[in-house]
Amino acid sequence: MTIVQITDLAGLYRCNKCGTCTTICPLYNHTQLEGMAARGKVALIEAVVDGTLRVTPALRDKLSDCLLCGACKKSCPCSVPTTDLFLEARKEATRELGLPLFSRAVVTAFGSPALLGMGTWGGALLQRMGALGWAPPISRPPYQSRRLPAGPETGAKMRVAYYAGCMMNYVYADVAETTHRVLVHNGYRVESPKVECCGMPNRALGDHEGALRHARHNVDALAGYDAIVTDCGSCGSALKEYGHLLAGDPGYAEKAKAVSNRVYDVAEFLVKFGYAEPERKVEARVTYHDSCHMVREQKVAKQPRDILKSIPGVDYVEMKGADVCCGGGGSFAFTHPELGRKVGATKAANIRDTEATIVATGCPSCSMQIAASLRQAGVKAQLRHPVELLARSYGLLED
Amino acid sequence: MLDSTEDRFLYAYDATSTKAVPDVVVLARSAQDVSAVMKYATEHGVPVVPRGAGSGLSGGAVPAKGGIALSLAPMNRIKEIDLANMVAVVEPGVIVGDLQKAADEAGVYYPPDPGSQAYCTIGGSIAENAGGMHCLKYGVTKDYVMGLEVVLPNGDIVHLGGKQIKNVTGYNLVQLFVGSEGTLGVITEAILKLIPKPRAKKTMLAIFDQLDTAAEAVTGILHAGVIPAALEIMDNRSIVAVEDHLHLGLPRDAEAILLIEADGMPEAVEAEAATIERVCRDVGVREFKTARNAQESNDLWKARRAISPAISRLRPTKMGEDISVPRSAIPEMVRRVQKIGDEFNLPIVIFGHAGDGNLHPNILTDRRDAVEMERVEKAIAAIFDAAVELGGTLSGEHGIGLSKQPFLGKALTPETINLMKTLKQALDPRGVLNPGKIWG
Repeated sequence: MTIVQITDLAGLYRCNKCGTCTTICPLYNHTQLEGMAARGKVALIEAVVDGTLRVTPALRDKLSDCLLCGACKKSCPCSVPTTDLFLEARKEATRELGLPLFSRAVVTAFGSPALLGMGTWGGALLQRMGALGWAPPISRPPYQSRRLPAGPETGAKMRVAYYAGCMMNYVYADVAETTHRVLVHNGYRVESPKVECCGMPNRALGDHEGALRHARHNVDALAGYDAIVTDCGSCGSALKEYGHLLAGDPGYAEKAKAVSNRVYDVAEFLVKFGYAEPERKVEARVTYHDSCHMVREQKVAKQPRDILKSIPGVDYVEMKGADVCCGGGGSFAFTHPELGRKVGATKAANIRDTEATIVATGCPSCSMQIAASLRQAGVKAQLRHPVELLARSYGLLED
Repeated sequence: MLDSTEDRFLYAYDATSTKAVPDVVVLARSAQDVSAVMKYATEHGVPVVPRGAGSGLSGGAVPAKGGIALSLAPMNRIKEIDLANMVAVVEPGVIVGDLQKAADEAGVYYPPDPGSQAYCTIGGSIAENAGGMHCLKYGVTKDYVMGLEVVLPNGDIVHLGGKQIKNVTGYNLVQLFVGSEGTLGVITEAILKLIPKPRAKKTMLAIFDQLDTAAEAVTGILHAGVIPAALEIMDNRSIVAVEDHLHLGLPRDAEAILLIEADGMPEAVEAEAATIERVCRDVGVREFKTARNAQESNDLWKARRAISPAISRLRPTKMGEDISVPRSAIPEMVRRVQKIGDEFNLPIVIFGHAGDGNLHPNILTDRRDAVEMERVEKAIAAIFDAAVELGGTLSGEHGIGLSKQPFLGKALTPETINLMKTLKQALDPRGVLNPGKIWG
């Protein structure tokens, strides 16, 4: 058996190995290894499709040498859908070989609220005892166990489902609560239906079935709202993809499309449907990091910057390479720690150059990675979600 | 060293559609590494294929006979930008664009700018003697190589040339290795000439109803005493492809567009731009635009830069050729290529460097279609015949490598090829360096 189910074969064969994808690849830049660049992986997939190479664990490892940051897809002069091809190839490799242990652990954990809840409860406990210094401070209890005002039941501007992704719900619960409160403050009715993991980890690790399962559950849970708002760049891009993901499922295709069309990143949502003018001064020099999923998949880049710049007192400064991957890449930083650190060090250096005191970003995975990179580089700046600064300006949060 | 099946497949290709899997991949970090590899290879008769970014367009980095794929990409340090002597000392894996940036930041200029400058390496650009868009005024890579450190097939490390501008101490061996396509030695360090950075530049776009009028304009500009920094031409099919892709408002019936850039001191640039505009209007340009600022200049270049993305949407494979003809033969060459396209029923777009006669006919095809690929091969042979007939040659800046090797006899006499083989034999008696290239 070979990877034969690459749906966009023409897209695969459009690659003429020109090399454009090499130097824009954060991994290639740190290794000068052909396999890190998109064209290398495209060549391997081609060889499998042509029948000259077999799907082996070694090949699967090569396919996992990628942050899925999408920089190559964006700048490919021949419009090769690189990252889509890699996801498809990972999916086919899984079909062939099954999921490796680490991936199985990740998708099992993200697939189970009980495990996540227990894990973060234990993690928080350990952190209080001084352990797990590398991990972000886990705020307890999870967002969905908190009782929060939901805004007006009638007469609200819109009825909004806040999608609390796994990281937001269990690790960054305080940020999730802040997003919730900011939406309510702006006159929206906010509900938080019981959702599952967005399925992004499943897709990235090649667990297609798991991704479909989560997608169906979430489509059922999120149908019927005026809008679905999320504050996680990766969840947002996964939710927006449900329409495509379930296009072949007659029972879900229409419903999934309708849900996907109503998904917004919180900054995108606030700028599009309106937000109250920020009032209080937030004295800080702020820079913004574009999460890959936010800027290249969701094409949200201007809105969070607009919000930050609209806050009085904020001295906004753009960093060099703001839209270059931070090296987090979901679980990449765990599977490829050394490479993740190298890519992270470049980001930390660019942040240092801005002399910003706050780095705003709309993605928990980036936030975690950048905080670790800054610590390693001895840079003092703090990580914040843009809504946290907005909430401070609204007086909803203390400094 | 990498030797897994997957890794070997990763070093089997370059930017042509040929591939050949090496037996092993070696990542070089120093001239000593390279020397050890060459000694071993010569002793054991193992082929070695040096490789930079693998972005070459003639198969130079494809390990045609297997053996060792030797990657110089990890040797990517800019060792020195010596402003007093206006030279840069670099390792071979430095990206050309990175050197240009470093030079620019230091206030100087490294002009050779092959289309792949953002990712191709200095080593590869020297080995292929790469050109670019600014060759008419500034010359090609060979004009900037002042010194080289080269590892010979027997493992000897030699230092040729240097920072001196004048040097007649012994043979001019630096130039022997420039354009040698990795067949004579492995470049491990280069000393490159830098020049003062032009203070100003101005971009112009001229649209012509007739190819011949465009050619007249090119000659006219030079006769009027102006050497433009860039003088690029797009034929009608390139124009249509770009227009379909980007809707820039380019006229679909125009036979040619010239993109012209003047650079230098601000006053000189103003005067040159005025001359260029006058010449174009005198010969009967249909439309002439001058960019007033960097943004507008960028907009004008958009049409030229969009050709590759635009044509890659039309068919899955593009076979880019690289013929070079005397400037005066451009209109005739373009017409012949268009006729060849019609004759073999293949879409061919032509663009290139009108100032120096280097044209890139791109045949749009699908390499999975064996029947069509046969027609492509015939069309390519016909294009080479036409180029040579018009006093031109097979390649202006890509090299011969594998892809043009069957046609070498069309451009060079047996005696010339013999001289090249004699040199090769003297330096590489066991034929281990990049075998199977240039003449097979």
